[in-house]
Parts: sequence; C-alpha cells; structure tokens
Amino acid sequence: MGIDVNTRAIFTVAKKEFMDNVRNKWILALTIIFIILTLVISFAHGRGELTGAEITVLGLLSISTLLVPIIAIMLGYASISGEAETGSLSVVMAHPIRRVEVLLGKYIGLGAVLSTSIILGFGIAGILIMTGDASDVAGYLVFIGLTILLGLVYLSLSICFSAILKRRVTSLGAGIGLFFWAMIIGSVIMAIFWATGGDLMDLGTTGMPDWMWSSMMILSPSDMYQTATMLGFGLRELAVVGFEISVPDYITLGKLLVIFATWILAPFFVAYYFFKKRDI
Amino acid sequence: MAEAEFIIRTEGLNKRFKTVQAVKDLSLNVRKGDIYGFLGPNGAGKTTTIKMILDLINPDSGDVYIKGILTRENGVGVRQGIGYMPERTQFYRNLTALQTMEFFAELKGVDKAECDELLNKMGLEKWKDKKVGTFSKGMVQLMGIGQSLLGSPELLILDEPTSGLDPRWARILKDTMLEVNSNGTTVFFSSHLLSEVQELCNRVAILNKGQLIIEDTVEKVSEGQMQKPKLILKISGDAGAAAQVIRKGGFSDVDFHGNVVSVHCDSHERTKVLNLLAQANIVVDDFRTQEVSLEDAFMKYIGDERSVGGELNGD
Repeated sequence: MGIDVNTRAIFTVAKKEFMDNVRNKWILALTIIFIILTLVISFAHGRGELTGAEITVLGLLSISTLLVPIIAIMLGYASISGEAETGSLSVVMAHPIRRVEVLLGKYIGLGAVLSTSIILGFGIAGILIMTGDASDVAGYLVFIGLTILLGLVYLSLSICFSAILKRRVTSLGAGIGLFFWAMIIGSVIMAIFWATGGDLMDLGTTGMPDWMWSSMMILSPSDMYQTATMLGFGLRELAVVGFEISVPDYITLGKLLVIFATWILAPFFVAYYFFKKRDI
Repeated sequence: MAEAEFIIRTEGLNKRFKTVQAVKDLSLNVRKGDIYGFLGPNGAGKTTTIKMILDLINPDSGDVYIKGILTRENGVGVRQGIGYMPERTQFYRNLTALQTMEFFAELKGVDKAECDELLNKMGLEKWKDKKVGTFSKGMVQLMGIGQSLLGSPELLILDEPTSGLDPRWARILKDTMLEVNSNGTTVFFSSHLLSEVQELCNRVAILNKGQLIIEDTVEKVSEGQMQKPKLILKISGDAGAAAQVIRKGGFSDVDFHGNVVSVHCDSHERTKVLNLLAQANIVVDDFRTQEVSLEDAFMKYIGDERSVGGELNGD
C-alpha cells in the first residue's frame, strides 16, 4: 500500500478547523493584544515616529516570543484530546476518512488560523513602519515568515501532546509545561554554563562558547527564532544593553531553517504514530 | 445464510481496559434489513462494541466484517455507507448548525442540499444559522441524528439514540428509524429502554458484563425464559397469607408486595388461582394480567440485580 491520501478530506477538515478556531474568542482576544502591543512598541522605537525596521523588529521579538507560543498552544492542546472527549471526533472518524487525513487537516487548518493571527499582529504595524522607511521590506517579510515557523513549532508540539494524552486536562497541563520550557530553556542553558565554571561576564566580551550556541539553536526554538531574525536582516553583530552578540559564522539561516523544519515535522510523525492506534 | 446477507458480523471480539474486561469473546450477526436492538445495562460494553464495529476502538483480538469486508483492512471503504451517532456528543462551538451539517456532508461526499432538508426534518430550521455552542443538549442530539442520516446510509448505527430527547422527539426519531428501515436501511441501535426495543426491533441481542447472553428475534428472546403471563391480584388483607394459599395450591412462581400478590400461570389456570383464594375466604378487590414482556425476560437473563433494576427504571 502506497501513501494515498484524499486531499479533499484533508481540505474539509482544515476548513472546519479554520472556521471554528478563527472565531474562538481567546484567539481573537490574543490577536487584538498582539496588534496593540506591536503598534505600541513600533511607536516607542520610532520615538513617536514609525521608522527603522531593524530596531523596531528587535522590540517586536519580545512580544512574539511570548505571544506566539501562547496562541499556538491554545490552538493545539485540545485539538485531539478535547475533540475525542466531546465525542465529535468519533463522529468524524466514522466517516470515510483516514486518521492521517484528519491529522493533516488539523495541522493545516490550525496553522492557517495561527498564520492569520501573526499576519494581522505584525502586518498592521508593518505597513505603518514600511510607509515611514521602506528600506527593508524583504527583511520584515522574512521576519513574519520566521514568526509563523516559530508558531508552527509550538503548534506541532501541542498537537502531538494532544494526540498522545487521553484527556483534555492532561493535555492542557502538557501545554502549560511546553510554554514554560519555551520560556526558560535559554536560561537553563545559561545556568549550565555558569554551573560548569563559566563566567557570565565573559559572555559580554568573548561571546558564548560553541557548545552553548549549538544547544541554544537546537533546544530553544525561541533563541533560534531570534537569531534567525537577526540573520534575516543581515545582522551578525548586535550590541544590546552592554552585551555584544556575535553570531558565529557556522550558524546560517539555512541551517536554522532545517532545525525549524525538524521541530515541526518530528512531532507530526510522533503524533501520527499515537493517533493511529488511539482508541477514540 | 450467505455471508453477504450479514451486514455486520463480529467474530470473537475482546477488549480490555486496564483492569476491566469490557467485551469478551463477542460474536454478533446483524442481517441486512434488520432493526436490531442491542440491549444491556450500563457498563455492559455496548458502546465499546459499537466503537469496535466502527473501527474507532482497536479490539485486543477478534474481527469485524461489514458487508463481508474486514473493516481493519478497508475501514474507509465500508464507512461510506454508514451513518453513526454516538451516545453523547458536542459539535463545534463556533460553527452554525448548517455549517456543521455541511462539514459532515462534505466528509461523506453528499450533496449539501440534503443539509437543509435534514435540519428541517429534525426541527432545527429556525436555528440553522445559530452557533451550535448555544444549543441545548436535546438540540445537539437532533443535530447528531440529522448528520447520521446524510446520504441515506445503508447501515445506521445509533448509540442510545432516544436518551436526552423529550417524548415528542423520541417518537419522531422512532418513526424516522422505521421509515428509513422500510426504505432499506439496516438500523442497529443500543438501548436500555426495553419497551422501545420491543416496539421497534425484529432482532435483539442482550449483552451483560461484556458477554453476549442471547441473540435472536424479539419473540424468541421474550419466550426464551419459558415465562408464563403474570396474574396480579389486589387483596384486602394479608397478601402474605394469600401467597401461601396459592403456593399450597401448586404454584411455585408466586410473589407478594404490600397488598399485591403476583403469580406466573397460564391463562387457563387463572380461575384455579381465584378459586383457591375464594375457598380461603380471601377477598380479591381487583386483578389484572400482564403478558410476557421483553423486560421480564431481560431481568431473568441478566439476573435480577438491584443496580440493574434501578437503572431500568431510571430513564
């Protein structure tokens, strides 16, 4: 048996997921907060004027690294466990559709809601920034694209947990755990550096050792995202509040995209493995 | 009977959930054209069985054939002709009734014109553009029935379909089941309401603690326990004494409660019972007879456990 999937069935599920979740009031509320915060930050960085895409984007990163995982996890955590619990998943699965098609439909539909939220969140501010200074439209678009990839990482992980765990509450717990991991993994790596005899003051002058760069880029999607955004704007060196950040040459945007893709695809396959044998 | 005439056939199904053997060596045969009642107390394994038939739950062992096709190997193909409604469900909070129906119609590859038609049939036409999240439990149930009828399925599988419906809608649902059956749809439904099963079904199965007790026609199942009709007498005075008298007269199946005595006997024996009481100067205020029912048979089959009796009266 080869892989034959019914794209119409996938599209049907994707459309349903989109229509249902795009009207979810929590997602709506978070998107509005997103839009307001990006506008505020954009104004602040432009000193009342909207200008200087690179500088503004560095400010926007602090919003997206916080809000995007929240939105993604909210969309994904109950996508399977919750629907199984209410019984509607059993109705869906009693139709002529394969489990892989349901899963793909969910990824695509929820991914579309997530992308819509991000495009609205950054797009409105972006249009205003670019009218002030149209110097780096491409960089800004790359930035939006990378933000969507960051969201897809957390969406994929939370759908994966939802496919593994039986109940809505436990998958909510996993979602919260995932969010904390997203927030603290960078600091954990920093703590390991310090605990193994590293001097935090050295980080400001000589920069991070290679093992730290590698583990940050592989284990912390948020740090990877921020680095990728710098590279997307063509920046390798950056001075922020006394810290000199210099991205080593062996870290390239291409490599980071491969890591992104791995973070998105690997949870999908794990989710499929568990969803396929799940009792619904 | 040729295999193809069985629309559902299960062979030796087993399913264990942690410490509970939910279904044990279960083999069922549902014929094309049946209205098939699947009976059993709560927790008997009815829902688990239905979900194994639909390939939603993987059995630990055993096979399910729909129209002779092993579902494990071609689930997608066989599900084309099946309509299913689970015991309880919620749909998608932010979709309207019509959008929800259209979603299922698309999944089934059915003309969307049917959605409006079925929403009307289920009395939901006024709410078709309202979000399902605002619906009452009964309305959601009606939505569930509506979607199960999309595409006029060959096989309709309903899990406790009348629970949660008011008597008027329960009636409409029962008429709908009879109607689709007369148009060729096989209806398989689970229930613990014996009267509705007796009214609708031609064949029944009784499941208890995951095991099949009997599978046959309603008549055979009802008679299977060799029950005699019941004579129920209202006595002025001591019913216990009256019961003694009847027992001494040669009747073994006698029971009493308050001032009521009941005895299982054939119709020609009824005058004998009345005579026995008259000779003992016991005054009979009133009496009635009760024919053999599926309910009596059911109680005999599964053992007269209080928990079961409570449940049967509960709904």
